[in-house]
Amino acid sequence: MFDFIQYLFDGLAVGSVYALIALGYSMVFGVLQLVNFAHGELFMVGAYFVMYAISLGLPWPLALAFGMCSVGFFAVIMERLCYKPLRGAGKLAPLITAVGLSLLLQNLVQAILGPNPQSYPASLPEGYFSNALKSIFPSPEQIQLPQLPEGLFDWGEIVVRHRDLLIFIVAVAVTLGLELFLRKSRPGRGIRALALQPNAAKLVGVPFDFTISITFFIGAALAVLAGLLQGMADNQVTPYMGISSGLKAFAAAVLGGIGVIPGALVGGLVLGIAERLLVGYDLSTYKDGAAFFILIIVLLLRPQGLLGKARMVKV
Amino acid sequence: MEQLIEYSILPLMLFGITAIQALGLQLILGGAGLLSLGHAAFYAVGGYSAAAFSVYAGPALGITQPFLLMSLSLFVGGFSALLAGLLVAIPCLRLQGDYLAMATLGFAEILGTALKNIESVGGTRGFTGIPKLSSLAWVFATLGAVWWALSRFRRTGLGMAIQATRDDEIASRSLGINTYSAKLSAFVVGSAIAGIAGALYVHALQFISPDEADFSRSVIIVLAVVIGGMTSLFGSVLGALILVAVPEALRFAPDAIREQRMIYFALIVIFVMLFSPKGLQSLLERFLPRKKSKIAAARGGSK
Repeated sequence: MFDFIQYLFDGLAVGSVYALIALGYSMVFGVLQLVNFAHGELFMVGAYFVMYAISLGLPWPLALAFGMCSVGFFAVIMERLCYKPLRGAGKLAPLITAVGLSLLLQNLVQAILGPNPQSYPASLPEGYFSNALKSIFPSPEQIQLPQLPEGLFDWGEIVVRHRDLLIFIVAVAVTLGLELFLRKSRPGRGIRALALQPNAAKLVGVPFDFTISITFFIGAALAVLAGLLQGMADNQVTPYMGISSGLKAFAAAVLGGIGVIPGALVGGLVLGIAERLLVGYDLSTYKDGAAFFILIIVLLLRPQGLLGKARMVKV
Repeated sequence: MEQLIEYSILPLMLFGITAIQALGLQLILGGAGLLSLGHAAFYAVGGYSAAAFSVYAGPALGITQPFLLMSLSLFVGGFSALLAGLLVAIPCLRLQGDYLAMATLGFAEILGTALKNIESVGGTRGFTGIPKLSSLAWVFATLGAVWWALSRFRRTGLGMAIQATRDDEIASRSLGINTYSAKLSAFVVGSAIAGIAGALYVHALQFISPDEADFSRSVIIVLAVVIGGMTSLFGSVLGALILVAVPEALRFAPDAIREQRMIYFALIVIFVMLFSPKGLQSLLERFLPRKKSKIAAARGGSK
């Protein structure tokens, strides 16, 4: 019994990372009904970006903010160039473009930075670009790594690491913040209006392109945050972290109810905890299938997801 | 010259096999309008069961004659994929659009995980020691047969019901079409075709691993169908040709390009979609006016 509770706590961290990525999938799907397969790669790119920014000597909060903004703008440009021209072309064309973008980003990172996992704090590979960067940033005397707390709460049978708890609190805070943003702020209400009824939203003056850009920006920024947390928790980044975590995060978004913000958190936590339980009970070889098994069961019983609301289709 | 011929046999076979898979998905995606992101799973089901048949069951039944063994394993591959298709489709076809895509993707991931844990078919190392039974002739004979059968199937009552369901499900239902069974048959037949392709594959490469059920393999087939143009059988075969030929051709490119061929491949995918969202076939139609008029005539001259 104590084992079970212990695994629940252990699953919080990985589940929270899934949740942070799932928020981006969920928001973009809510607005455009597009599964942005490139989103997982933004998470991976973000993880690299922040790691190199730190290794160039930026203090980590600055590196994180810098990474969130850069990858956010990158996502906005990506949307403008690759998704926007396809808005009238049905659902499949942007989906295929997203898959193409995902392949492109994964292979670009692999080509430039090498296919092997790199551990913190890795410095940029040699090359013209990195030399230029290094001349701008004089070599740092000391690299300030973000420190995840190492201590633990020890309650006899159950031990909870501070860092898992911190990651969980960050995910909850971000989810609440995002929900508040969507409910109270002007652009946030624009996003909800577009998700609900795009044409009516345009009629009452919601700026369509701008709102979509904001959606992509926020989603990408949260993926970068997830990338930093994941990188710190595993102490490494790889070009393939996007594809595996990305698919599971998407499953988490659907599981919780796609387009519903707290749903992404719930879905991510359910999947993270389920994976940890399988590892705990010596079934770790089944770990990667678990997310999708749960997903299919939930979809069959509750097609709109755990927290989603069923919508009637009018003829 | 001989070397060139020898070298081109494997890519040609891969093209034929990919084309068969693409034809199966064309029926599901282009025909019925159902997005399956787990098509490779049915390919793997067919491949694994055909391999298990020719390795374990065939010799046990005393069948050793290669032609008979290959024909039977094609049947086994197709039939097992058909059953797997039923297993997925019966519950999951209630789901709409992207949720169905998600469920098929999930099925593929679960299957991949399960295959990694079954030791009698090789586990994570993959299934080896499969006899080499298929050949270029087998692949292209099957491709031709599948193509012919599908082009006939489109004109049957069921084939038309499938297309009507894709165009407007509610209107079709109001005309008395059983849309559920139309979608079900498209999904199941498409899956069976993928299984046949799997059976050809394992007996050509004498090897299959759980990676064949991977998401990336399913994506390749979706890419083939969409890039070629998903409204026609020809488009899917064209897409399969491009998907196999482009990475192969880039092998002969200068080193700098060859090492990064996946990047160029991804760029090509993006540009094809941006400039011709309906696939390359529509580009061809634009440049070959005679072909266009023929197709327009077949559609009743509208547009």
